[in-house]
Amino acid sequence: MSDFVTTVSRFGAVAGFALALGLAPAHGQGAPASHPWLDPTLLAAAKAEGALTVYSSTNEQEGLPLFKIFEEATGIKVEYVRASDSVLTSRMTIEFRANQKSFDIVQMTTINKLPPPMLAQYEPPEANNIIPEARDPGKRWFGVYANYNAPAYNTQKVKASDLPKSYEEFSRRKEWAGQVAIDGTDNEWLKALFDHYGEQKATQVVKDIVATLKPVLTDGHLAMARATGAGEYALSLNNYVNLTNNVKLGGAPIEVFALDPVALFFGQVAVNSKAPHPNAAKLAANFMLSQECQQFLAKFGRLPTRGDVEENPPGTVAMLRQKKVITTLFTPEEERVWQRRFTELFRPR
Amino acid sequence: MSLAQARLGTRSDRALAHAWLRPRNLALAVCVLIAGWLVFVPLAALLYTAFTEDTGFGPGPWSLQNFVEAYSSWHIVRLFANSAIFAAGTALLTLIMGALVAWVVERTDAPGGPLFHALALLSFAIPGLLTAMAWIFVLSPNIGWVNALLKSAFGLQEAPLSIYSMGGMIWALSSHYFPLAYLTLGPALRVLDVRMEEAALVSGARYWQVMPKITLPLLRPAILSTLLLLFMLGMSSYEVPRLIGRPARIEVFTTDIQAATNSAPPEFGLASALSFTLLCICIVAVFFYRRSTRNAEAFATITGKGYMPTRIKLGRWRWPAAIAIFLMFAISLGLPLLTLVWQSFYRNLAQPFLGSSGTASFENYQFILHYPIFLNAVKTSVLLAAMAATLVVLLTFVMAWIALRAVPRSGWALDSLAFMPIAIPHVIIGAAVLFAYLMLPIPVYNTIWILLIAYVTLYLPYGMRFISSGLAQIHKELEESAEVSGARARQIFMRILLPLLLPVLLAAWIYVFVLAVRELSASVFLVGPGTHVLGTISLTMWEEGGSYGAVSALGVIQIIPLVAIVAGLRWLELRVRRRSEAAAAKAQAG
Repeated sequence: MSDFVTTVSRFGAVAGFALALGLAPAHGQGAPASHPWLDPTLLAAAKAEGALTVYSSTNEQEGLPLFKIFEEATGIKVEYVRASDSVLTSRMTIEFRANQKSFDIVQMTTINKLPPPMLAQYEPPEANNIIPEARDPGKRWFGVYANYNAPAYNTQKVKASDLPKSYEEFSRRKEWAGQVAIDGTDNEWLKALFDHYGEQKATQVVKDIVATLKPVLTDGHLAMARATGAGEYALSLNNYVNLTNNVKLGGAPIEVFALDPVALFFGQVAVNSKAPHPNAAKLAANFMLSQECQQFLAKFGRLPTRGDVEENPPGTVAMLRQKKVITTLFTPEEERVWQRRFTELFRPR
Repeated sequence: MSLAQARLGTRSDRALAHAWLRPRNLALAVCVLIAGWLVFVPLAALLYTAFTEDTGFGPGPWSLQNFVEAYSSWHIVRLFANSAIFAAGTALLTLIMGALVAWVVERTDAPGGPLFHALALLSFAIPGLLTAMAWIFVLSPNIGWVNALLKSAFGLQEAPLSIYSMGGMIWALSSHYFPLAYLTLGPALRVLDVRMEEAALVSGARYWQVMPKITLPLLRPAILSTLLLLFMLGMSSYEVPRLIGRPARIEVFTTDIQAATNSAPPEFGLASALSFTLLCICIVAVFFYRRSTRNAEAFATITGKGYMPTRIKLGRWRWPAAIAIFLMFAISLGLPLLTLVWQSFYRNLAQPFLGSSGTASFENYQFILHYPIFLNAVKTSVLLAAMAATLVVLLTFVMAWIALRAVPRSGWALDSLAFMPIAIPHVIIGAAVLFAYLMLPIPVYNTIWILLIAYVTLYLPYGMRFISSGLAQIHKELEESAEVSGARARQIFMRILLPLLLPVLLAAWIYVFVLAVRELSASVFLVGPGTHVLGTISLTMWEEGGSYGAVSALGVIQIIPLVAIVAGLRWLELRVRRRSEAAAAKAQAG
């Protein structure tokens, strides 16, 4: 009841022009007493710098409480700017060309596509605890969470026993024509398919799927997960497992199922080569790879890159790892080539 | 040249220079320069990126590669055809719907005018992304609740309606944009001098003859201006093609532009080359619009010869007319709004009248109101929108006056200049503004001012269309006779132009304000720490971590303060209008 009253009163505040009110909702999470990631030498230098600017594609509901932990542990003030991967990429590039010292660390899924001079070479000590695929050999980025790619289905529209056992089998399910969706940018998934089946067979498998199922091309992976959970589509040919889990954790009738191959890439963190606060940036990068940070992110369905953090829902990674996992990390040129290939196969012109 | 001629020439040059140095002319020149600069930045960026090699991380050497890539397959023909059908269909349907509302509200004595005006404003207070989403929930063959009701009522096997079609796209956009047609046509109809129609009727003409021969020709600038704006809005609209057109495999220019800007790294070169077509269409459209309305005096209905707006008495058709308009609102606005409000009480998909898997709660509202940066974003958005609307109205008023009054022959160039930003995708404007102000020694980066610069650029076209069509209806003899009678420029402006144009200026202000409050595509490049806006939160909800319920609740919460503000402004507009009508009546009696 008190929640209801609070909501109504807050609603009224907005309706009655809450613009001038300084109601800053406190949503901080209590920081644990000890922080193994807190390197004392770096901390002293970072404190002298006094601030940290984060560019991230993670929503503020997760990102701000996460960096509240960092703020409380270090006393360093954090400025958080959220935008999509593509917007952050353009923005950082423009700022780099203009020689602007804008952000300290960036966290998104396309850092490996940035030109190396934009990123500082730095290996945080906590990087020793993450899986080897999540570490850039050039030491410019490190995986914070894993983005596994696998199909998903609406449990009210499709029985688990009817699910295909391979991608080839999809092309024999004429009854699903127009009921299957895929995001229009799933080029990493396509590359993994080509690596797994070989060029000729993969092309044929995809062409058969397109001819039989006429997949609906959607825009945005979360939008596709929501729509599959809502029953707009019976299945997603591919989606990010953490987003399918996110919708599932919200109560929608949706489930992941794994097929060979499972494409994998990462939500990564990197330090800006022109960071205005370089020591605070290094400390924050170390924090992002820590057990404390990854445990926090797992609550929202993000799959950890550390072995000592349990995923949510439990058993997801083990289920995916039963299949052939292919890590796909593109350079900008490869990204363009594979996106064109994807478009040609799924949207023949 | 004789000495006398040379002296005369020097004297007239001095007089010209002196005239230009007058404060009024200087102020006008400054306004045009500011607007010119605002448009130049994104336009230059668009052309530069279109004609240079796209390296993925900025423009490289000069090249036509982007055009080759954009225009070298037959796909472009399909893109063009789909875009043209979509934009023309939307413009026509929207114009018909808006004109019907405008005619009933402004020209007849049918009841419900204030209600319809409020509903029209409410309609475009809903963000475009949410309107498209709501129409999917209403008319999708799989999950649309109206389809489900129709199937169960008539025992149908297949859904009778589908939003995933060209017709569905046109309907989804028209239902959202028709208040704009009402807002642009309304003031024109309001000031239409009914005595011209009466004279025709007295001379024996029937009303069906008067409408095409008198009324519509008099409204030509307003109708063409509205059609031009709607057509360009249809060409550059992005939410409906994204959510409805793409699954239906109906691709338009903006689908491909958006795919190019959303890739990582973004392909701005390709996006700019595609936008180049939109830009050319925009310039050609403005040129033809100006040609067809070149004799501006012919359309002026507010002249110095007495002006008295009166309403048509519908008699027993008063209520049926009002009910018909109400039904139009009930379908075009009521269905998506009901769906959004209903959905806002559930986390996952909930269909009105058909039950839901969860229980209704205020959880989504709690989520939004507790969202860490929500209240700051509301403050920033409203402040920015108010400043942007004021500046846009001021700048476009000056530009429209110069284009129509000072240099009518070449005014189309100024008109095109102010209209060009409508053809440039918002993301490109955002990126161009960011780049320009990082390179220039103007300290606006990461402040609210860089957002304001982008917003004013984005909404110049809307201000220009509203105000130039309003100004075209005021005959310049009013200003001329005031000048002959010794009135100064300030007096002419304050006592003649401003009172007559005020309804149009307020309508333009409200429209720009509402659009600016929900702007997102350019803002994503320009928000900094502490300058978040509502649009970027909406996008975050859609892209990253928001449920259907949270997205809907955010939309509903956005609508409420907007409606309060807009209602306040409407009250002000009515007060001003009553005062100017009373002044006009008094002047006529005198």
